[in-house]
Amino acid sequence: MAENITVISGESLDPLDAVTGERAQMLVFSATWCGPCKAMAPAVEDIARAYADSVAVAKIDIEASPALAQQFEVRGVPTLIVRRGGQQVARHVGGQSRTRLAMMLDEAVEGGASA
Amino acid sequence: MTEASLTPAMRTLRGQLGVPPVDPAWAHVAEDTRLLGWMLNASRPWPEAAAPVLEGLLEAHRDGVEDPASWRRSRREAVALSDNDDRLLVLLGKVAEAAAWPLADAGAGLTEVLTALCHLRAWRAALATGWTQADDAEAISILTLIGAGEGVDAAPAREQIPGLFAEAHPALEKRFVAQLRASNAAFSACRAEVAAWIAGAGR
Repeated sequence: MAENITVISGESLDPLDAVTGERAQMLVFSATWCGPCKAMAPAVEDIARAYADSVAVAKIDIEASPALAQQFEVRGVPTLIVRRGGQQVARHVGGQSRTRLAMMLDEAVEGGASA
Repeated sequence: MTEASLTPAMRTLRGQLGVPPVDPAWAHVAEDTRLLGWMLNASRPWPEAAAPVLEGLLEAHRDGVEDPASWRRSRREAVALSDNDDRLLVLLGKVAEAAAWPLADAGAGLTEVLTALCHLRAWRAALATGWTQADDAEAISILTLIGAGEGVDAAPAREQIPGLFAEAHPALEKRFVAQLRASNAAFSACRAEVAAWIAGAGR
């Protein structure tokens, strides 16, 4: 796993919050059996690296963290949620290209970096 | 490798096999960039609406463009192309989206282009069977209704769906299966072709 991605293995976002600082957060809900999640993983890693200054990225397995998945109303994987100041500012269900991920972050993160 | 550096034997064999001449503009770029260029070219033919975007990306990779603003502009053009009602342009746009990044320091660079290219090749193979975008929409609509159990007491099991489709719409189902087989074969062949390119480059 890329060094710029926090892996959440429990039911709390505390590990992510601890490293977020002033940055936005992108939650990537996935599952081990999810093909599109695997296909998108390299793109997420690239984006996490490119946006490291403005976005903290977390990967959350919905089977390891079912309460978190429920809390964020995850109905399918991959689900991508961008948060800022604790508020959801963007959401997408399904695979995304790096380009679409970057545009989603550019639009969602006010004053964020443009990769 | 340049055309001038080829031995007569190799030049003759390449001619026999129909291998295109070495483009001197690509002869000195890194192998991963040459592969990306090869995959972009493998997405031809390009309709008029897509050609400027994909030509621009070919040139940007070949010339080693580093300016982030230029790449951002390319990404916006790629997205504008893939935001389309025509599925062929959508898929070409996805190829462009995948290729609209410099390769340096990007783990996803080549795999995204490969996936987008193979989806495009698969769709073209489907079209070659006579399948159309309208057929596709109709089949998806019918399969969705069958899967939801429309008009019956309970939704059918997954393995029952093909039979129900064939029973209700035999002509469309037959063409659906034909295009699906062609599409799957083209997707696999596309991956194999890229694997062969890499294996050849490594020899």
